[in-house]
Formats: sequence, structure tokens, C-alpha cells
Amino acid sequence: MSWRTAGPALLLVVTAAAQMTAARVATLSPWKGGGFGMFSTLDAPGFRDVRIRVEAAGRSEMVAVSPSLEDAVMRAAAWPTAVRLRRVGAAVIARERRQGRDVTRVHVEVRRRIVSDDGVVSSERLGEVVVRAADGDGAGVR
Amino acid sequence: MDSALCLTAALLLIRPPGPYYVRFAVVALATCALVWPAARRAWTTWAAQTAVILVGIVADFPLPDNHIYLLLYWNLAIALAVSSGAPAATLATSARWLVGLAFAAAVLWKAVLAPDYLDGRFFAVTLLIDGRFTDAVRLFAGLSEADVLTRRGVLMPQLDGAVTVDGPGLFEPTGLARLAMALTWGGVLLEAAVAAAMSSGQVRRTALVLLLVFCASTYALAPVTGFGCLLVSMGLAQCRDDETWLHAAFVAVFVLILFYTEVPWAAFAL
Repeated sequence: MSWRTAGPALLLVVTAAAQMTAARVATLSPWKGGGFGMFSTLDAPGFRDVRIRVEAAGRSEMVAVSPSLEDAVMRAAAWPTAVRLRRVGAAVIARERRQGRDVTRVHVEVRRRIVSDDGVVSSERLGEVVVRAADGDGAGVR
Repeated sequence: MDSALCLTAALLLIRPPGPYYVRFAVVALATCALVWPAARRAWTTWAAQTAVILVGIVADFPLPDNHIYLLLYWNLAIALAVSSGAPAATLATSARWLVGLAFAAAVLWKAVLAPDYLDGRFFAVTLLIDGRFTDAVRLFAGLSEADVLTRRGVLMPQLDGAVTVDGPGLFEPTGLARLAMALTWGGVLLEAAVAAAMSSGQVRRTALVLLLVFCASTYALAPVTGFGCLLVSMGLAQCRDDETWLHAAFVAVFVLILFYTEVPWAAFAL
């Protein structure tokens, strides 16, 4: 095996090992990150719930994911780090303000669904943040 | 080797990865590679393709699917092979190692790391919640569309965060359980066989036939065209020039995977 054939193979091994570590010790979905964990577990981004609650004076409601939030929400579901959750919160605040709605803070939570072997569905929290409108006005949101 | 490069370029045209600016560059480079043999044989073409795909992975992280990473390694392998003194042999060795390692990682996830694969839960639930499997579930498990939708309603997320629990008889239909277990064990055993055969290097033709069987069967149900066509390209790169039947089989499976994608064959069979 020469360096020309070892190089790509080594890159695969290193990336896969890093992905397996991140999925085991952190909250990266096994389906993502280059570790070839797709079609091996239910813990796919699509089986994780991103719950967004908007709060303001006299208002506290769960909101649906609009097209302007989709990208940030998908990234947060795939690997819900505090940075990605805050981006979702900031994007929600920016959207609420664009639409002329009052908002004081946004609660973002990601949970993964777990199905037991007898078909009982439960869920487990993977991460959550609260973004205050005074702190997160949407600036710098991707 | 040239036919493997052509299929890789065709795959990049059919399924370019990444955000729009990456897809444009990928398609432009792939067109050049497909049309001009000199561009196809130039290491710079594939090195540029590698760089562009890497930009896409970084920009989209953590969203890219696993085969986009494999596509990155494969383009790098091509760039390194065509700049070597023995391009065909170098590329064949790279292809063998990349396929073997990717399958080994997939088996490690399924058999060791994932908590819900070997007992059949993964496929039992996925067959219900992923609409792309609905026709196959109706065909092979004998469930009606209403059965599938009812069970999907138990499993899918609610906007208010309410968790619906204890779906009565979620896995009860024996047809669904049988199909789930067949896919579970058939999948992991076939992947393990491909990984072992590719890694040994002593049973090259057996490894390639196993890869053909995997691609022809798996992608009939799993809707991942890009992955399937990439594996076929990497298999084709391992064929020797005199193995015309093997060449033809890989090209046929490449077309078959596109057929699975474009034609709702399971719905026609219902």
C-alpha cells in the first residue's frame, strides 16, 4: 500500500473515528458526520424534535418551523450544540420582528425519540437554550 | 479505469453535492471530465473536484450524508491515482480499501454501536415513518396504506412536544416484523461479507460480485441513489480490462439504481 492509496483510506478512518466519538460522547446524530452510521439507528435528525417556544408579554406559544428557519433547525437537529441552538433562537427572534410580533425570549429544545422494543415511544432531551431578545436579535445568523 | 472515471463524472452530474455554488462548480468540472478525455486523465481536474466537494462539506456541516464524505475520498483517490505511474492499479487498490473500510464502519455501527438495530426496531419503525418505503411495505408486508399512516401518526413528532406513547400493536403485524428482521439481518450480513472480502484482497471477484448483489438489492428499497452509484463506480474501478462481463454488470447495476430512483416499481407491482 503506497501513500497514494493510504492517504484517502487514512482520511476515512480518522473521520469515521472522530464521528463515532462525537456521536457516542456528544450529541451528533450517528447518521451524520462521515462515520457511516446511516440506516443503523433511529437516532436520525428527522427523528429528533426541535421545539421552539416564543414568549412575550401575554404570549407563550410553540411555533412551527418556517422556511427561513429550516436550515438552522436541521443543523441543530443533527448536532444540537449550544451555538447551533442559539442560532435557531436568534433566527426565530429575527423572524418574529420582521413580522411585527413582540418577542422577549425564545426557548429552543432538541429531543430525540426513543422507541422501546415493545413499541412504547418516549423522548430524551439532547440540549436546550433560552435566547433573550435583548441578546439575540438575529444578527450574524446564517 | 476510464469507464470508472466516466461513471464518477456522470454521478457528479446527476447528484452534485453541496450548496448551489458548489453544485455549479462540481457540474462544470464533471462536464469537462466527461467530454474531454484529457481533462478526465488530468489529476488537476479531480484535485479541483476534491477541493470543491470539501468546501461543500464544510459549508453544510453537519448535514452532508455519509456518501458525500466517501465521494470526497474517492475524488482524492482518483487525483492521486492518475498522477501515479500505474493509475489503474493504484485506483483499484484505493477503491478496494475505501469500500472495505466504509462497509466495516457501517457494520460496526449496526452490530456494536447502535442500540436499536439488531433487534429489528430500526427497520420496523423506519418502514413506517419514511414515506419512501410505503410502497414496499404495502407490497412485502401486506399492510394497507391506512395501516401505515395510522402507525406513522403514533411515531411522528407533535408540534407541542407531546409524546404519544404506547402505540397499541405498533409492531404487531407479522408481515412488518418479518420484513424488518429480513432487512436487518440481510443488510448487516451482506455488508459484513463485502467488508471482509474487500479487506482480504484474496477474493477480488467474490468481493465484486458481493458488491454487485448489495447494490442491486439494497437500492431497490433504500432511496440513496448517490451512494449506490458511487459504490458501483468504485467497484468498476476494480475490474480488470479483460473482465468484460464484470464491467457490463457494474454498468447495468448503475442503470438499475437509476431505474429504482426514477420508476415507482413497487407501486406498479401492487
